[in-house]
Amino acid sequence: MAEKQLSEQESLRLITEMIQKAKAGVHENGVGALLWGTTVGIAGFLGFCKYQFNIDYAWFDPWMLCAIALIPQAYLVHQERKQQRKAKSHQQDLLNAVWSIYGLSIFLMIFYFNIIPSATAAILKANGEEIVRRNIATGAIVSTSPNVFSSLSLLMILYAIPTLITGIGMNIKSMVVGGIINIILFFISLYVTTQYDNLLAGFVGIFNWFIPGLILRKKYLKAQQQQLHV
Amino acid sequence: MFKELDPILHSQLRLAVVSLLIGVKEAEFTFIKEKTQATAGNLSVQIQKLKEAGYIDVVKQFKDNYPQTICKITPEGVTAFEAYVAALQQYLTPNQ
Repeated sequence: MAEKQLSEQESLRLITEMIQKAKAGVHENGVGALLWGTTVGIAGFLGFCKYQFNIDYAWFDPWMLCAIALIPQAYLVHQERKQQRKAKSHQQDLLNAVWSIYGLSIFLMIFYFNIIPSATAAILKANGEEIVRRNIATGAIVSTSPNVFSSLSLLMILYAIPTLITGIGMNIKSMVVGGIINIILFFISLYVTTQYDNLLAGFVGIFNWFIPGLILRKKYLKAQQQQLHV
Repeated sequence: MFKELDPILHSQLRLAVVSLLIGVKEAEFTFIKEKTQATAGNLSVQIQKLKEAGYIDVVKQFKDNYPQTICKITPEGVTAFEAYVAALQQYLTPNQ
């Protein structure tokens, strides 16, 4: 770009062109959404298969995949950004904070699901009480551990939060649609068994992140390609 | 009465740099060079002028053992850019 005196029209054209170029330079690459969508999708479908086909995964809980996958995902996303991001958008810090708090909340929810049953049982036991189940037909009474009902429905509420914030804040239509589908699936999950909660949570992974991730990745690669040809 | 256009901004490369920086929180020198297609020498001179005017902040640091220059628009730069755009609008639509 050589130095020259600009007319008013040329100034305006230049401003518009540069603002558009800046916008194109900070495209989301979609890697994080793709990886997280794949993980939640696989975990949900493995969870469904466990009930549907009576598969015994022994010690392995398919939803542990999410906790395990958080570390390589954070590393991959960080590496790709480090290599390719030469400009930072205004929303980036805010969205990073939203997704980090979301990751932390998932960990805290998993702690909650694992600790509440035994902690509640201990409190009840200290008071000389316990929770029992009674068979209506036979009248048989069995001791049961207090558990969190439909825990996947609670997770689905959490899943919708960062997706809708990102979708609305960054004007990513596929994420807004994914977040709305997430909420619809949450309502359905309230009326079905844990088996189908798993299947619905798997679909949430697909609609919330996998499909938007594919769209973002395609746009990002297209923008990169266009920049190479400029 | 037409407002005078800010001479710091009314230059092709400096206006391009400020227009780029207005849309992002911060940008590396290489990003600005790539988008403006300016030479490194010319860009350095114009960035220095914008820095001296207080329109942008320039941070020089090392990243993976390579020097890295990060530019960021200042509140004064935002005000000057807004005033420049307002003055431009006056030129383009003088009856308003």
